[in-house]
Amino acid sequence: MTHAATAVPVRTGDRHWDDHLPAWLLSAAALALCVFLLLPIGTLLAESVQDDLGQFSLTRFREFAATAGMLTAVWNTLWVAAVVTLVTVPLAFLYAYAIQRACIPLTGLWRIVGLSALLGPSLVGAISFIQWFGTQGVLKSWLGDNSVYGPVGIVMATVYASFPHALMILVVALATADGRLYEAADALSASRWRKFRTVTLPGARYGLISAALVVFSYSVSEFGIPKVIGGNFQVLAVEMYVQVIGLQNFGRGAVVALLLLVPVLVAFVVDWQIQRKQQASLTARAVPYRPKPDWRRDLPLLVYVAAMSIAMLGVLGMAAYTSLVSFWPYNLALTANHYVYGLAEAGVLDAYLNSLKLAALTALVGTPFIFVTAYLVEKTRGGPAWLRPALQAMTALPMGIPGLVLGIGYILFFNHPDNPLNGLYHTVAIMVVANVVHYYTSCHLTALTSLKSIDREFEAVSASLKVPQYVTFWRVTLPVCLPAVLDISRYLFINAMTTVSALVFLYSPQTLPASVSILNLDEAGELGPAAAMATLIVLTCLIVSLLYALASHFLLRRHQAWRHFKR
Amino acid sequence: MAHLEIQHLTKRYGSFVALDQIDLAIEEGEFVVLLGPSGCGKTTLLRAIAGLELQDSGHVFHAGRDISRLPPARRDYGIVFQSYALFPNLSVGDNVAYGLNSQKGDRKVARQGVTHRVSEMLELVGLPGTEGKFPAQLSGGQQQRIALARALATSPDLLLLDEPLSALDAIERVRLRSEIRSLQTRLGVTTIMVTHDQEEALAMADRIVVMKNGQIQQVGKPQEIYRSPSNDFVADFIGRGNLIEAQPVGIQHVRAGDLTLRCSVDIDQSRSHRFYVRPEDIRLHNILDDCENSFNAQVLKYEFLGPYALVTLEANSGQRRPLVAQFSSNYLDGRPIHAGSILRVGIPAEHLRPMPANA
Repeated sequence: MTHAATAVPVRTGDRHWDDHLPAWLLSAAALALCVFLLLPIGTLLAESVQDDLGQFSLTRFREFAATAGMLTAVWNTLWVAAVVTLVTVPLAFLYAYAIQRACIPLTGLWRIVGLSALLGPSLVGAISFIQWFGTQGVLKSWLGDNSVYGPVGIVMATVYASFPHALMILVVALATADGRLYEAADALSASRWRKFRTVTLPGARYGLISAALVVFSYSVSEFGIPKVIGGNFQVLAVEMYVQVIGLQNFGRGAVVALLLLVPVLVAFVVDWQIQRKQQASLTARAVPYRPKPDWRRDLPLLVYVAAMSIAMLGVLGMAAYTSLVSFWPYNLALTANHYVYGLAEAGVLDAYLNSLKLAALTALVGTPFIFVTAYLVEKTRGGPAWLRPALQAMTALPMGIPGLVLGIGYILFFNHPDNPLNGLYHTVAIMVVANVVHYYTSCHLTALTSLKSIDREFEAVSASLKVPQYVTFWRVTLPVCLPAVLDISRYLFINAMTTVSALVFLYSPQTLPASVSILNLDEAGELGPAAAMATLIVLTCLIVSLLYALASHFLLRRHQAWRHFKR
Repeated sequence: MAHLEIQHLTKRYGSFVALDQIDLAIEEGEFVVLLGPSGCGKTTLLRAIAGLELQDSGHVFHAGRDISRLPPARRDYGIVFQSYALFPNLSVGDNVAYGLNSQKGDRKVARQGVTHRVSEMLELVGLPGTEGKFPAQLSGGQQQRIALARALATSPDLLLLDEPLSALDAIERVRLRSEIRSLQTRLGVTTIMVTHDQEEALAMADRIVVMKNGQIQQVGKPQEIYRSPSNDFVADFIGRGNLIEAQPVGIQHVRAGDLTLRCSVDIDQSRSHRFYVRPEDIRLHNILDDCENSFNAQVLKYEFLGPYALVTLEANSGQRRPLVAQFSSNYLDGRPIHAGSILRVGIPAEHLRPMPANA
C-alpha cells in the first residue's frame, strides 16, 4: 500500500497551452478584483487606524466620538433605517403577496409600477416629496405641524426608493411555494389566517429577513436623500460627504466610512448565511401553488395595489411635472425652460451625455467581465485550489459595501501619489470600474444561476469530441445564457445611470454625471432644472428598458427558436 | 497488455477514498459494466478513464499509450451521460456534427462529408431524418439515441456510458438497452458502462465489474457473477440469495440445524462452511417425496409478484434468517400456497454453492 501515497508528478509536456488558459484568465480576474476592491477597502481600513503621522493609533476614533453631533448622527442613521425597514417590508410584502398569491388582473402592470422607482436616482423621490409636502407643497397639511425636511422626508423618500428592492426579493420568495402544503392544510380544514401563519409566512421567512436586511442597508448607506430632503438632520452618510468633500478631512472620512460599513457588512453576512440555509427548503418534488379566485381576499388586495401604484406614479409624475412648470407654485404655466435654459444653456446637459457614455461603458465593460469570470469559476478546472473560493468571496463582497465607502476607498487608494495607477483618478475609466465593482454581486449571481441551470456535462462532452472549450462557450453556453447576459447589461446600464453614491467622490468637472448634477442643482436651489434632469434620467432608463425588452423579444424569436419547443 | 489497462488507480476526496488501488484490464471490443451501489466509485472510475477526474496515483493505458495525465481532449473516447447533455440551442444535426466540424480541409467537401456522416449516424440509432429538430422536441429515449450518435460520430476507440438509461422510463429503458448492446456488437467498439441496476448489467455486459467502497469486489461474466459470487456483498447485491452456515459431517455432507445436506464438491473437514443458494434454485416437491436434500418447511409469508412468487420459509436449518424461495407462476400452475402450511422443498446438491472462506 506504500506506493499509493506517492502522487505521480504532473508532466506539463503532455498539456497544451489552452489547458492553462482558464486558470490564467481566472487569476487575471482575481487580480483585477484585488486591485479594484480589496486594496481600496484595505487602504480605507488602514487609514482609519492611523494618526496624522502614519502610526497605528485609534486617535481618529477617539476624536470622532468627541466631536459634537457625531454620536447623534450614528443614532439618527440607525433609527431612521429601522423605521424605514419596518414600513417598507410590510408594504412590499403585501404588494408581492397580491401579485403572486391572489387572483387580481394586470399583475404584469402592477409589477412594473412597483419597480418603477428603480428607473430614477433615489433623489427623484426626495425632490418629489418636497414638492408634495414641502413648504409650498400641495399636501403640506397632511403632515400637520411636521416639516418634511428632516426625518419625515427621509423616511418617506427612502421607503419609496427601497420599495422595489424589497419587492424583488419578496416576489421571488412568494413565487416558490409548495402547493402540497396548502392542500394538506385544506385537508385538515385550517382557517385562512392559520394557513397564512403556518404555511405562507414560514415559507417566505428567508425572503422577509433578506428584504429587511437589504432595506436596512439601503437606508444606512443612502446619501442623496438625506442630502436633499434631510435639512439639518444629521446622518452618517452626509456627515462623511461633508468631512471628505467639504472639509477635505480624509482621515475622519475614513472613520465615518468604517462606521457605515459595519452595519451594512453585518447585515450582508447575516443575509449570506440565511441564503445558504434556504437552498434546501424547496425540493424538486414540490408542486407549484396556484391560487384560486376569492373576492374576499382579491378585492382588498387589488384596491391596495392600485392605491400604492397611484402613489408611486404620483411621485414620478410630480418630478416630471415640476420640470415642466415655470415657477412653482406661483406660475403653473407649462414650459420647457428648465430643459432649455436650466440644462442646455447652463452647460449641464453635458452631464447627461457623460452619464449616457458612463452607463454604456459600464454595461459594455462590466457584462463580459462579469459573465466570463462567472463562467470560468463555474465551468472550468485547473489552477490552484484556493483560486475559486477566493474569487467567490470577492464577488460576494461588493454587496456588503456601500457605494460611498467604495468611493472613499478609491480616493484614498488611487489618489495616493505613490500609486502607479494614480493616473486613473478623475477619469471616466475609474468611474466605470467603480460602477462595475459596486454592482458586481447581483450580476455575478445572475450569471451564476443561469450557468448552473445548464447541463454540467457540456464541457466534458465537448472535450470528448475534441472541440476546444472556447468554441463550446461561443456556440452553446453564451446563446443559452443570453437572457441572463441581457439582464446583467441592462442592470448595469440603469444603475450606472442612476447611482450617486460611489461617483460623488470620483468625478471631475469634465466627467460630472447627471445623477450627481441633480445634487448640485438642488444645492444651488435650482429645483426646476434638477427635476428636469431627473426626468431625463427616468425617461432614458424607461426607453432603455423598453429597448432591452424589444431586443430580447427579437433575439429570442430569431435566434432562440429552440426555447419555444415543448413536447 | 490489454486494450485498456488500469493499474493501481487511487483517488481520494479529503479522507474519503473514492478509488482504492483499482486494477482492471479490458480487451478490445468488450462491453464491460461497472456495477455497484451509489458511492462505490464506479462513476469516479469512469470519469478517471475519461480524464474528467484526475487520479491521485496510478496509471491508465489505452491502446498501449499512457493516458494517465492527459486532458480529456487528448484521449480517444466518446461519452454519453444520464442527462443526455445535448446542446439545447443546436439542432439534432448540429449536435451530431459537433465533433466533426473541427476537422479542417476543403470546406465544401468537408461539409458534404459531415452531412453524410450525420445522416449515417442518425440512421444507425434509428432516427433518420431528425436533423432539423431541436432536442426539446424529442422524447427522453430519442434524446439519448442522439447523444449516442453524437458520441459515436467521430468513431472513437472507446465508448463510455454513464448511467445512460437511468433517466428513462421502464419500457424505454429495456428497449434502448438492447439497442445499445446490438449497436455495440455491430460496431465492435470497446465500451464501459456505469450502472446501479443489476438487471441492466446482467442483460448487457460481456463482463461485470462489481464495486463497493472504491474497491473491485468481483470481475466476471454475468453468469459467473450471478452463479458464483465471490463474497457476501456480491451475493447480496446481485439478485436475492440465502446464506446457509453448516458443519461438515462427511466428504460431501454438511449439517445445518436438523438438516443433513449433500453438496456436489468435496469440502474441507476442518472448518465450518457457508453455502449460497439462489431462491429460484429451491425446488418444490410432493409432500411425500423423500429425495436427496429435501425437507419440510413452514410457510411464513407468501408474496405474489406476477410472473413468480416469493415464499419465506422456516425450516429447522439452524439459521437466523428464514429461507426465501422463488417459484415461477408457470411452475406453481395456480396451486395455492398459504401462510402457515407445510411444504416439502429441496435444494439440489449442485445448487448448494460453497462461499470462499474469508469472504
